[in-house]
Amino acid sequence: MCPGCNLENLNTLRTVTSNEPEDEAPAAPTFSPGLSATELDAVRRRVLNVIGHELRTPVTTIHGLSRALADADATQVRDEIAPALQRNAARLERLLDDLLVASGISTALPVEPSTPVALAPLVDAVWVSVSGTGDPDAPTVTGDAEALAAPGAARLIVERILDNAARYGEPPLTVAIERDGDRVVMTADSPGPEIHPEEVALATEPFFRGERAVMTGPGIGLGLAVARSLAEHQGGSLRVDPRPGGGLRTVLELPAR
Amino acid sequence: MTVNGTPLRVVVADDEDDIRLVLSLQLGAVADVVVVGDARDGAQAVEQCLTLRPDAVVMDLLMPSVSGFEAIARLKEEAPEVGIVAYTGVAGEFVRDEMARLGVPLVLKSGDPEALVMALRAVAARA
Repeated sequence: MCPGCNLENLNTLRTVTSNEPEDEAPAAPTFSPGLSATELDAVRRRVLNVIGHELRTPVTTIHGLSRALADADATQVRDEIAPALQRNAARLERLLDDLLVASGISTALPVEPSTPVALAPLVDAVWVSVSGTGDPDAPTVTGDAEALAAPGAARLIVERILDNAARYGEPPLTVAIERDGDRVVMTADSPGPEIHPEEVALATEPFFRGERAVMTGPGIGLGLAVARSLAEHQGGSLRVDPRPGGGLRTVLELPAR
Repeated sequence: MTVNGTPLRVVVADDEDDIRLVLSLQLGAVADVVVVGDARDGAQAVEQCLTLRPDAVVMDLLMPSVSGFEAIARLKEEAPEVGIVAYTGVAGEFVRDEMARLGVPLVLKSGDPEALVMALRAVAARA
């Protein structure tokens, strides 16, 4: 389902910048066959380092705030501590889900039944939840079709695709939705600089972060890997291609209603 | 934990809002410690240290724009009297060696503030 996702398959991983200090800029392993035992060990450390780095802030925050509860007044608890605890607990939950889903661990995949899901309204709704209402950079959506998928999974897939476009692409984002036989095809075109073909090929692999992503900010490189794993679990597929003119084209296929 | 009988004045620098919240609560609960500044990146940390002249700064290392590494270098040059504690979630060989070279104590981020408070005491006493 998701080659190279599991730790057992890390012999297919190679770091993009192999001379990078392990503790400096976590993330960005990529895939290449034939690693030596030493290289495999370095990749294993890198992956664990990425996860550890991502865990550190929510764990530290929850631990520290829970200790502070005893001395805090009610207003501080209500206005600062409780919201921060919830934020960081949610961050841990999302990280846990992402790690398992991106790795194709079946126990973490959605259990809800498939129902018809109209994709165009879903794209609009997800964008509002990500960027708020009235965002001038909201995607232009053309066409519509109903997919047959678990609604929660469909929402997560669209969310991760749009989130990736919003973080690393440039407006205007366009989304085209059409039915093609027994499939629904959603194509998201996110303009941006030309992306190296190797980066495009690796974009849906867990823990991979392209050069632009690394320069843009923190992250663990699971967004499109989660989207791909969920799409495959729903009987569909997800692939990324270079967008003509620069940037990324993400193509999601799901069974049609 | 005072400097010449006055409270220890501390600036905290971290790009994560929630970590700064934790630090302000943790250090605010320590008798004789006052958090006087709150910085989101290395540039703000340097600016606040030059303006507020705290006794010590808690410095995250991986921050956008101006990193903690760059901020430490500037503070060593421009405000050497400010004690620095490097505060990080990732402390591999490079970070350990670099902080040792600079003479900056290194503390791993934790919900337990004891190690951080001890380090602040040490750099304040040294300054």
